[in-house]
Amino acid sequence: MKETVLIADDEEDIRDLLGLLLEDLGFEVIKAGDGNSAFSLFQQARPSIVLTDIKMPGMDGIQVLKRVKAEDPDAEVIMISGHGDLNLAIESLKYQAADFITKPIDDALLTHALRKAQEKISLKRDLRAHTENLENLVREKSAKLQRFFDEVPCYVTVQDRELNITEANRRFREDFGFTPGKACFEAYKHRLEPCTDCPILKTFETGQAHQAETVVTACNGEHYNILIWTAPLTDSEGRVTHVIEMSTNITQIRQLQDHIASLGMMLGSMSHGIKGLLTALDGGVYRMESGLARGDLEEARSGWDMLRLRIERIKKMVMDVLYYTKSRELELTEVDLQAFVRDLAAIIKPKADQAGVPFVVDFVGAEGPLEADAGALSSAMVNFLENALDACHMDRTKKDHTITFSAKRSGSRVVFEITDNGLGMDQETRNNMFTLFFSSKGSRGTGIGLFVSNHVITQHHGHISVESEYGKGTHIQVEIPAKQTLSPQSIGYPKDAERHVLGAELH
Amino acid sequence: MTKKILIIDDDPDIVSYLDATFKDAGYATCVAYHGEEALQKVKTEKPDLITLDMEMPVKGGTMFFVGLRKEKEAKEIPVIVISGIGPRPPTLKADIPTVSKPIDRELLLGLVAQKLAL
Repeated sequence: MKETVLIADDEEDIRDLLGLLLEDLGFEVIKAGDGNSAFSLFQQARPSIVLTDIKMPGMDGIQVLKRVKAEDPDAEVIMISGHGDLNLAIESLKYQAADFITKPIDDALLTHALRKAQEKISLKRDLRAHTENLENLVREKSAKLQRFFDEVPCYVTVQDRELNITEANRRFREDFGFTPGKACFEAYKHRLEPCTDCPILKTFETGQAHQAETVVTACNGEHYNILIWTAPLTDSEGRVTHVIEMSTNITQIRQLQDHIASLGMMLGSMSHGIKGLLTALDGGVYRMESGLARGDLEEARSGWDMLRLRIERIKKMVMDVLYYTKSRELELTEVDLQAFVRDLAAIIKPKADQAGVPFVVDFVGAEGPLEADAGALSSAMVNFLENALDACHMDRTKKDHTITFSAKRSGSRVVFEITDNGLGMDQETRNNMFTLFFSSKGSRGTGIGLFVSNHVITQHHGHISVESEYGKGTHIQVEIPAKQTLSPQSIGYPKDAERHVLGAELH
Repeated sequence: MTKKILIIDDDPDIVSYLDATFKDAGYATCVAYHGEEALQKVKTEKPDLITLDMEMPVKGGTMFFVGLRKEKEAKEIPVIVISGIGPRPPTLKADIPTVSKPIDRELLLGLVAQKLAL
């Protein structure tokens, strides 16, 4: 690209002479005959070099220099001085003139001055390009860092000595909100004072990284278990001015751990039940074999009955465990209430016959549709019914037992009632009957059945009330809405194991 | 004279198993399904030996044992604990043998014979 040079001189001959010279040197040339027109031409054409005579009518060369430099500091101005104004020419250097040449004009000196000006211009251009490059690079890098900071899959904050958050990444801002100057204990925990064993305060104290685990509350009200790492941020003199805190959400790991722990608990409690179960299996085998050996079919038959009952139990236990270990949502469908309770009765009736216990049903008023997870609700009800059977089987204080099972619609709700005159429950059993892994049945129970029943009924927004007395029997009433208008809760984790309401009353 | 064994367990199937085992071995038996009933049976049946389950409703094994020790005539009756689990109850002295479930029948019958021979 050709550089443009503006020539300002009041003498036309000199303008023409310089013009020819500069064109020969490869410049684009524009000309002005006085200071004023020179400056306005400068404003229009933006030449990179100005060659100006000092003595001119109107605005002189010094004025032109000052105004051009004020307008564009990058433009280079070369002064042309006559004999009488050498002092002015020297002075002009103070106002950032690139150089000056004297009249009469020496070609070589002018060329040299122009070269120097050109070099300065290209140096400045390079410098500017370089600076811009650097700025872009810095902008790019810091945008990248910011993006990393924001996208790190954990919460990152920086706190000062007052524990006020000075910076926070996007994930933190999304889950906990960010008001500059808010303290971390306030944002994370809604507390008014620092947490005990604060790892940040420790880091301020020791200059070392520290670790902690805690539970925090997000904006949406959810509780998260977080694992915290801290590290000191120091100033140029090595003093800790801030602490960076990195917190990982480990809620899922903790939930899994709870689940595994309760599975361990379950296996522990089951080992008790299983030992009894195995003993009874031994008993059944023994009685059957000795009956067969003696030709005593009666004895063999009772041995077989024992075996069959226990095999049923093992089946039930395995199903309980499978049910418990599977987390699932309710699958609501509309079922016919009458058909639903008849199916239930058909499951229990053969078992009651087998045990010789009369099973009385009353389904008058059990009409219309019921919205429920039929599978889950049915197994919940079977648990209650089988418990009633067990209670009769275990009761040796009397001979005649009866189980009554009734169902009816009552307004917008469905009421199931199960009554037996079996063993009944003492206070402790009644208080613990819905607790996970509690079983009063020794070798017969896993302690899961009623826990799951209670859970299923709660999921259906229902209510269970229990009346029972040891030696007299048990009355259980299950009430659930005929339509599930509220959202179902998830099942599987035992986290609300203590939350159920138990309506046990003594009579 | 035929020796009589009192079987105490809340699980009817385990009671019937022990009942058959002892009867087949030539002993007479009587049964109780919890500690309180058992204390009555001790008085009325006057057994020569007692097998005791620890975990039972109403009155468990430990409380039965405490009750048994209070009876002048009964406190020398030998007891064998047959239990599924749990630590040895503090009231049980070292000379009370414990058989754990599932039961080793030979071991149990051996223990019974040994205790009754004393």
